[in-house]
Amino acid sequence: MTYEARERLALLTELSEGELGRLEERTVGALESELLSALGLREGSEFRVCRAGDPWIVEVRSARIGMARRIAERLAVRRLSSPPP
Amino acid sequence: MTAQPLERPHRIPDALGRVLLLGYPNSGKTTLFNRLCGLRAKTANFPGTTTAIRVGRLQPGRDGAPAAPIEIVDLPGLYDLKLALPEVQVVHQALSGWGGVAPAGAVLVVDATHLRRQLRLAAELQTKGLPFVLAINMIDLARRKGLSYDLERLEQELRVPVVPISARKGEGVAALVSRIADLQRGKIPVPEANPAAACDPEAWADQLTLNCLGGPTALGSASDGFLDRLDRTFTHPFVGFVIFLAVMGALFWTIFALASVPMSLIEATFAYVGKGLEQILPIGAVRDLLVGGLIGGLAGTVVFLPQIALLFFLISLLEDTGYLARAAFVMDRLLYRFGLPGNAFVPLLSSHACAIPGIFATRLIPDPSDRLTTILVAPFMSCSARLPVYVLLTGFLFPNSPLKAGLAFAGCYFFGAAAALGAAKLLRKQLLPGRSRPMILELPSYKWPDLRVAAGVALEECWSFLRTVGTTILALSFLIWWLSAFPRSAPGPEVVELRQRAAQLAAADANQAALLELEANVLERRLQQESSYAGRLGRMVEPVFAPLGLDWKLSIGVLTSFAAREVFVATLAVLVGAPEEEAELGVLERIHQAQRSDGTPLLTPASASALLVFFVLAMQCVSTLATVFRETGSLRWPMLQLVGMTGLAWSAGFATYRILVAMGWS
Repeated sequence: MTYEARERLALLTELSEGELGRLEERTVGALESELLSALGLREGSEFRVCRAGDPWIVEVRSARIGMARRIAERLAVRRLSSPPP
Repeated sequence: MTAQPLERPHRIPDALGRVLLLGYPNSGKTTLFNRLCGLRAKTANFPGTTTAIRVGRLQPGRDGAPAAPIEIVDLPGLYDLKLALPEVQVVHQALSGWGGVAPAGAVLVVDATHLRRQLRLAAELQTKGLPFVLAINMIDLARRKGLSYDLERLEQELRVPVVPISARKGEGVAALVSRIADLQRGKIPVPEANPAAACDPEAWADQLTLNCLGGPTALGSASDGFLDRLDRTFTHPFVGFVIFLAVMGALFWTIFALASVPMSLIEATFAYVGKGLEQILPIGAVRDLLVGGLIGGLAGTVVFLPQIALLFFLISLLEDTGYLARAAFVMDRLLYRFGLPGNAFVPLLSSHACAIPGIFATRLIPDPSDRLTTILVAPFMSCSARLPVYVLLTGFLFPNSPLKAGLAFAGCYFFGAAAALGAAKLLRKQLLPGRSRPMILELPSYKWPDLRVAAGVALEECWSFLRTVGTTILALSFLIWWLSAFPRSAPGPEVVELRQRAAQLAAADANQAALLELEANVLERRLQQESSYAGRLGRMVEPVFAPLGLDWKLSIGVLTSFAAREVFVATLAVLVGAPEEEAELGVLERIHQAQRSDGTPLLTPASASALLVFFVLAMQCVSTLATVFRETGSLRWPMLQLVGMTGLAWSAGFATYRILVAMGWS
């Protein structure tokens, strides 16, 4: 099933700055997946978008994680708040 | 530069036991290591800067420590003991006891402001069967942020001693030393593994934080808006890049501007000492050896100490602020286009100091092709050993314009970086096809840099440079002096004739006689050098470098600098000598004013430019080649560097010389 087909799921790159989200699924390489997990971004982790754009910066468990767009566009997330006005 | 960082862990033979320091990157392990051992290991704010194990000794008898030293090992920062990364493997080796010595225990260093996340390592460490102490670092920072801790409860839940410390200020370090001594004496038991912690370390750490620290902080806080704006600015595709250029420009300008006064002082001191020795010592080989070999060789290298100190000091300050991690993302967009990963930024930046630590730092690049590409292009970055040559030649090209000299100097750095990018693109197309891995990086907190740490780093590097000066460069200086001074030849008939005329005129016209005597001395020195071993060797290699406009002296300089680039200026300083009439001149000025055997200037704008281009691009460092061989496990790659880079350097130098001669710059 593609991300677009899933109800209420979005790619991280679709979220705006300041929005809260939860990571649901990732389709990155094994190494990138392990690194994201070690930094605290794994399935179920809640985060806040600090910067939208390349790089994407999210805050997870008080840590700021920067990632290239090529990673951000492979993370399926659920919105936990409405986009800021 | 030929100085090498401590790469292989060494053992302290009389140590009573070994204690490991481990924790997340930027948790302050290395600052604590410096505080405990009094050593100045490099502390950085960029994740994973500690790429090799560092070993120090806890001072005996200090704060309840035993009478014999305890070996303290500073391990690379890591996020998770289960990750398949090189630094994690290093930690596993240390935990299982390298060198046949099992550690007495460990100190897990956690950042008090990120306790919730970093406590997960405690869960993993509990399964290793090793006693450990939890050091909650940056406690002062946490207090300022209004965080409070129930340490007794944390100790009860973890079943290990908990010590709040501030490694930077020294707060709580005495209590920690006492606990380290307890680890060595076996007074701290191995904690029982907690099934809940082993099953889900994150959930366990969250619950523990909730129990002991008043609950996890909600996502977002009042200060985040400001931090977000800073991050957005520093990583912005255009503004971020402009800031990066401005920061780097300011860095090089500061080095040039601030170093000039101490450099002049050092030059003046050596000139004064050389002249003093000439007056004290009788004419002969010993005086020549001391003034020409020792003073000349030392002056040609020690003069660059202020610039090396400033370079390391300023880079350390920048690392400490947290800015470099943001700059890495700015560079990632650029590096990706040339087939390099964003993680290559720090190794390439480190290579500006010395390619060897830069190549070591590539161990943090997980993808083998990404890493190999970075290793192969790292020596293109202008290291501090090239700095003396840049200063000498840009100062010659623009003697009365510090601004133009500074721009030319910065241009060399940019030229080297551009060559590295071009070479990376070529390598990814021809030898190592594929795309670089996308970058993921933790962005450390912004903080004021620690001046003491930066000063310590600068001192350590200066000391390392002086050790090189005291050994390799000095030995080569003596060798070059000997080669240029022997075999001794009798003064030629022209010299004898000049001296005879001077003697005849001495009574009638003392000034004219002195001038003739001076002319005789200059001619004698030139003839002596030409017939010396150095002269003969120089003439042998001169045809190779003549197309770049270099004579035999410059050719010898280039030849000796294949051992280490910084030897170039020392070699020239020895070869151009310090005759009595020029003794008060600084070494750089003497080289600028030196003449070739035919009486034409040693350096011309065209030959100096060609030489500058050659030095930017050439692979002239035996230590770097040895390091590349060790890191790649193959002779193929260092040979490719040596032949490829030097061939490119010669061709570019030749083109530069020919173009400038055609433009009338000769």
